[in-house]
Amino acid sequence: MILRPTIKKMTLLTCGITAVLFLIAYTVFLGQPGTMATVTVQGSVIQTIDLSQVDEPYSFTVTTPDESGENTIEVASGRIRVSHADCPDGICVSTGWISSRGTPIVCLPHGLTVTISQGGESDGIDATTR
Amino acid sequence: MKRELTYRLTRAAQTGLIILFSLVFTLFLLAACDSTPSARAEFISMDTPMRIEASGVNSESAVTAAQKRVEELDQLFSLTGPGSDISAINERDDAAITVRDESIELIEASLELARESDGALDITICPISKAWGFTGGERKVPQNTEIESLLALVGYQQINIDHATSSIQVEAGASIDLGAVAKGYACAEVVEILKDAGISSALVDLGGTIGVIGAKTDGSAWRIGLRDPHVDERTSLGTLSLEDSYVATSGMYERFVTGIDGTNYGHILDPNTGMPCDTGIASVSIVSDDATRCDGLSTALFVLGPEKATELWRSSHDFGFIIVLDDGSILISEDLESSFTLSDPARTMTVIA
Repeated sequence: MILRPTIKKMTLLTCGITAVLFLIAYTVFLGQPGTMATVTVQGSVIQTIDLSQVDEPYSFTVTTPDESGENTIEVASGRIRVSHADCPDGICVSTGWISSRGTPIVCLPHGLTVTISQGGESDGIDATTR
Repeated sequence: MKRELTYRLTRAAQTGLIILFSLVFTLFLLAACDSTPSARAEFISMDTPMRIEASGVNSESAVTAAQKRVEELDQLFSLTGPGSDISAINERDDAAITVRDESIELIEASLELARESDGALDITICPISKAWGFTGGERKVPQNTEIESLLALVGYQQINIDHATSSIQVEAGASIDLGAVAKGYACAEVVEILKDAGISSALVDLGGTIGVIGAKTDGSAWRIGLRDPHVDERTSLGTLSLEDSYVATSGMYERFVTGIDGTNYGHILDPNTGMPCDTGIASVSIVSDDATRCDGLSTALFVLGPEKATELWRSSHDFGFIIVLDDGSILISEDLESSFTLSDPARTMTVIA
């Protein structure tokens, strides 16, 4: 009878630890990842943004390393676009908003890419041939 | 006695609970450990965005090696730069140049495609695409007389390969541009590197020229969207379900020159006339298990136009095609019908047998 409370405590503790470990493992391995966007300029990652955490839309400007060009990037909940650029072709701007992994935004003259690198809307397409 | 029994039951329940928890947790950890590692690389090479995704034990090192290989080939096949075989060939008028085996292999494959398509794919189109500004420089509509004089420099017969000395020689004034086939060749190289590393599931997207290894990790086929040539980049015409295959597309939507009268001239030039193709085709997608062929044929069929394209397909039958015409209607070869799903089922699609 003296042992009873001790066993109970240990049992509860074990169950508790197991439950916590289980929860951690669940979040790490099975949890739904947020929609992550990655902005790179000439091969280096400039910013990684969790688009699912964006409440208020905002913009920021990316300048090429030699300061010859600028792209303004607009971020909103679950989506991202290049809203303005001083490149000659403007293809990055005309691509518009992206929210899935199938299509990247590319500004070849500035060597800039904006991609959904994780999560994103599932349009069921893994890549687009063009 | 009664108290003793209650205690025993409680303890049994507690032990049961622990066992249950431990079991679930262990199983879960096992499942988590078993989930195959994967790697992903995104980069710009050959003037286009590229992406390599692979799942497997060695995926990380295999993807890194694959990216390095693409960058190496970009240097080798580029029109400019010190490490480029192509620029060396183009700059040295008339003289034979010793080149790497890869260059010989790709130029030879291009010449085979040129013969097969009766010159519709011609890697010597360079002087004319330069005149239009499609390979750097100012984009403009050249004078007819300029095009006519440049046409004399175009023709795949101007290239001579000497296997004994591993050298290439082009006639004076002629030059080579591997833009129509280089991504396909690189795609095949990447797939080979990944397969050699034991990767059994991967997606290789080299600027829209795509190769897939196996199926996705969940066992379903890779789903490749076809861009609708009449709408923006994100609108897909339909989806191809593919395993262990390549797909490449040529379309008029990517690069234009706008003339004084406002006409848009597309970047795919007919080597016979030096003018942008006007065959009623808006885009051609080719599916094949040969990546270089895939890439080259998408341009060749575009230049040939729907009728001759169909003829070429019938004579070889080792690839499949989806052609979108200017009026939005679709031609699909019968071998691809079962793997292609239209986004809009109401759209007109003709199956070619």
